[in-house]
Formats: sequence, structure tokens, C-alpha cells
Amino acid sequence: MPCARYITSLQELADGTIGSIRRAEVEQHLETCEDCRAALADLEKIRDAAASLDELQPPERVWLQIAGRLRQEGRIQEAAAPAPPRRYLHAFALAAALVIAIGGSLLFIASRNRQVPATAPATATATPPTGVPDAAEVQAAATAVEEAQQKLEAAIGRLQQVADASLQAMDPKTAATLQKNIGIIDQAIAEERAAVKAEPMNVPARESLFEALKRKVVLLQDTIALMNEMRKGNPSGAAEIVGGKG
Amino acid sequence: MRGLFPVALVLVAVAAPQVVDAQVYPERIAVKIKRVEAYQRRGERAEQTERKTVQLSGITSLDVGNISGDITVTRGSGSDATIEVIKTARAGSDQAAREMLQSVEVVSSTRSGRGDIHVQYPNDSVWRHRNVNVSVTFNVTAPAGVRLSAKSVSGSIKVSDIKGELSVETVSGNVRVASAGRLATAKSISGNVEVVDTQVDGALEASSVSGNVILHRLNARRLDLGSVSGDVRLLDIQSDRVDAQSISGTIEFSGALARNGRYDLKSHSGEIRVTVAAGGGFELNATSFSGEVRSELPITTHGVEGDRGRRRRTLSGTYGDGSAVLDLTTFSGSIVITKK
Repeated sequence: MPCARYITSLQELADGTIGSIRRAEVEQHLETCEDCRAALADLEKIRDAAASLDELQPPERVWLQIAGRLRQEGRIQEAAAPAPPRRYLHAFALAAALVIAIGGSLLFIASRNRQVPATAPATATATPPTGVPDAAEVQAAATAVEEAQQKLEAAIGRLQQVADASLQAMDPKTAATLQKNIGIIDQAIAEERAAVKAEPMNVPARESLFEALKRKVVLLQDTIALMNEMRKGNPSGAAEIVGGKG
Repeated sequence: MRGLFPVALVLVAVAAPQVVDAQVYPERIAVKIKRVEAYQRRGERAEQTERKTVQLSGITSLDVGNISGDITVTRGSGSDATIEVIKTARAGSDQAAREMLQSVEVVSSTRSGRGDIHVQYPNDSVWRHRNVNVSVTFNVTAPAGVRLSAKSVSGSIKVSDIKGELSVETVSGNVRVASAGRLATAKSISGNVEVVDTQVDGALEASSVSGNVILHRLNARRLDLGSVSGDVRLLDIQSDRVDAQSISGTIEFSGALARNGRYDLKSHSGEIRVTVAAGGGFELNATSFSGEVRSELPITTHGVEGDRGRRRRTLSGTYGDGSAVLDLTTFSGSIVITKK
């Protein structure tokens, strides 16, 4: 059994995504740990085997977003379902583009996130031990994370505008539920942001923040996809019908 | 009776005790008057119901789509599906209710073994701006091995004893699945999702936004579960891989951990409770930013333990043979590990 604290590093080493600082740390560890060497060998075998597997099917909402984009570009047409209003196609395409941007930001953040150690040195030393970043590297990583976070949150803000438009067209009860839960995620994000501000190098706090941001992206995506689904069921006003249920 | 209840509520709201309100908060009276007017505009005093039975023969898959109303699916025999359709319209008069009832169609078809039944609401200029208050209930008896997709916008869905691939989704309503064989998806936005006595041949994705996700006596290769404000409860579960998340709800896991199994449980402010059955063991990585980590089981720690002597916020180590991995993370909640 490999050491729990090195599992993520071993996975990243096998995937080739590990940063230079943690690579040095884990390679040093591998020199003395037979279990982790064996685990790395297994992970490399799994990686090679996985490369030959069939591709997984993406979630339905991804297809909805791609379909929205293709419809807007006039590449596909649905014979049976009437076209939704143009403003929704535009919004959906915008959402799809934002999701791509957000996904890119998250990947960037995640890679940067992993390069910062769990416990930062309180003071920089003249000759830091091998595998421990110096203050400049820590600061650079922290700045990069902050910039990526700002981009991500700006993108979420734009996605939120699209979702807000969808909420207005939904029945009030469902819209209220979604709004309330978006608010719960916002509250979590605010708490986690405050924690990150207070303890910038705290990995659990940062990971929690990005998890909540990702959760918000998913919920906003689902909100937009849901509105699209409802319109397919009753293009003239599914929301009104739902609202009218006695 | 159903129509009188809202009237009684409104009368109670506007009657004598509200004089105090009127003196102190006149704006509240205005809101209540608007509610009365809205009710009077709706004026749904008449109700019309229509029942029919639809037979779909020789099907291997079935799609059921509803906008407003419940769907119940139970197992039948043979290869035919029998669907009882109950349409109910509510309007200001019997005539209006009848017209409304006729405007909503239930469309069914069978092609190459694929059955489909769904509700079609009117889309013409006559009805476009009117509130079509028609709900449709589907009571389906389907072949045990049918591949089933059931979707409703506003209504609950119950499915039992269907062994084919199953996907169940609703926006506003509860989902309950019992004794399924190949459940793939169970989702709701504002209702609870409950799956019981089920042996999933593969992966299951179950989620709600505001409701609870409850899995009881379930065996699956992989579980992907989530809620925003509801709890995620996994009781008597056997699975090689569990990913469960909630923002403000509790996450509870109770069951045997599979050898080489991986269990990732995350919540922002909710508690994470893990009750492990006897035997086996796990590698533990438990972290809470501001909550507490407690374990009734003796964990052999390694690496940085964190906060020794004070409230423990991280705990990494091994229990038993360490053959499974437990990764537990919460921001402000607590983590509790107990023995069954």
C-alpha cells in the first residue's frame, strides 16, 4: 500500500502533470519506499491500458450545449421541435463558451494548486531544503492562483446572467428553489474565500473554494439545460403549465 | 374541498386578526389582496377527468414523458406495456375545464420495439397565453426487462421491479426506485431521490438540488451522488467507488468497504459520518478546515497529524488492513468515523 500523502503525487507523476518541485520531492521519497515504487509502476500500467480503452460518453448537458452551438451556427436542425427563441440560442452558446473558459481556468488552477505545499515555511531561508519552494515561488504560485480565480469568477458572473434569464422564464417555485440553492453555494464560496484570504497557503481551504466554484458552474449549467428541456416539452410555455399545477 | 382550502386560508389571512397588520403594516394587506385577486382570476372551481388505457406491444424500451403529474411504473409480464392515463383539468367552469382537457394530448407510438408516450400541450394562438391547468398521471405496467426512461417536469416518479436500464428524472417532485437492476440515473431538482433494495449493474448517478439523496440496501460498482442543500445518506451500501458531495447537507455512509475501494465524501458545512462494518480496513485522509475530526476506530497515524492536543482537524492513517481508501473533506462541518 503506497503512503497516503503521496498518492496524488504518484498519480500526477504517472500522468506527467506534476510540477518540478513536487516531482523532486516524490522522486526522493521513491528512492526509499518500495510500496510507492510498486504503486507507481501499477499506475503507469493502468495509464497505458486506459489509453487503449473506448472513450466514455459525456453527460447529456454537454451534448445539449454542443447542440445549442451547432444550431446557432445552422449546422443542424431539429425537424420535430420548433426552434426556441433566438435569444436563448445565443445565451446557450454563450454559456457553452463560458463553460469551456471555466473548465480551462479550473485545470489551470488545479495544476497550480497542486504545486503549492500544504504547509508553507513561516520564513524564507537562504538555502531551502530540496523539494521545498522558496518564498518567491510560493508568492508566484499564489498570485497565479488568485489571477485564475478572478478570471473564473468573472466567467461565472457571465454564466450567472444567462442562468438568471432562464430563471425568469421558469415557474416561480422551481426558480425559487434554484435561486435559494445558488445562494447557498454563494454563501459557501464567500466563507471559503474569506478562509483563503486569511490563510492563503491552506490547501483544504483552497480546494474547498474551487470545489464550490465548480459546483456552482454545474448548477448554472444544469439550470440553463433544464430550461432548454422544458421548452422542448412545451415550447409555448412549459413554465406556466408547471406553475399552474393545482 | 380542494378548492375551498385556499379560500379559507386567504380569508383567515385577511380577516379580523389582520386589523393589527393593517394599522402597522398596510403594505402586507396589499400583498394579501393581490393573492385573493390572483385566486379569483384563476377561479378553478370546476374539475374534469378523463381516463384511458394505452397498450404498447412488443417493446424492449419505453420513454415516458410528462409535464405536470406523477408517473408510476411497476413490473408486468410478457413484452407489452399497459399505461393507464388519467388527465385532470381545473378551470372556472365545466365547459372551460372540458375544453382545456381536450387541448392536452397524450401521444403514444411504437417503432422497432421502442415505445414512447408523452404529453403534448397546446401550442396554437388560442392557448398560447392561457394558463393550461391540466395534469396527467401515468400508471405504467411494463415488461421487467424493459429499458425505461421516465421524465416529468412537475410530478413524482416511482419505479419498482424494473430490471432493464433505467433513467428517472423530475424537476419538481420526488423520485423513488425500488428493486431495480440497471439504474443509471435518478435525479430531481426540488425533491428527494430514494433508491432501495437495488443491485445496480454498473454505475449510478443520483442527485438533487434541494432534496435528500437516500440509498438503502444497494449494491453498485460505482456511485456518483450529490445535493446542494440536502443530505446524502448511504445505508447498507456495497460499492467499489463512491463520490458523494453536498454543500450544506450531511453525508452519511454505512456499509462494508470493498477491498481496493475508494470513497470520496465531501461537504462544505455538513457533517460527514462514516460507519464501517467489521472486518477489512482503510487508508484514511480526513480534513476539516474549521470542524473536528473524530474516530472511534484506532487509526494508526503517519505523516503530519495536525492539531494534536486540541480539536483535531486532520487525520491521516491506516485502520486494519488499509485495503480501501477513505477521503473525507469538509470545510466547517465535522467528520465522525464509527464502527458498526
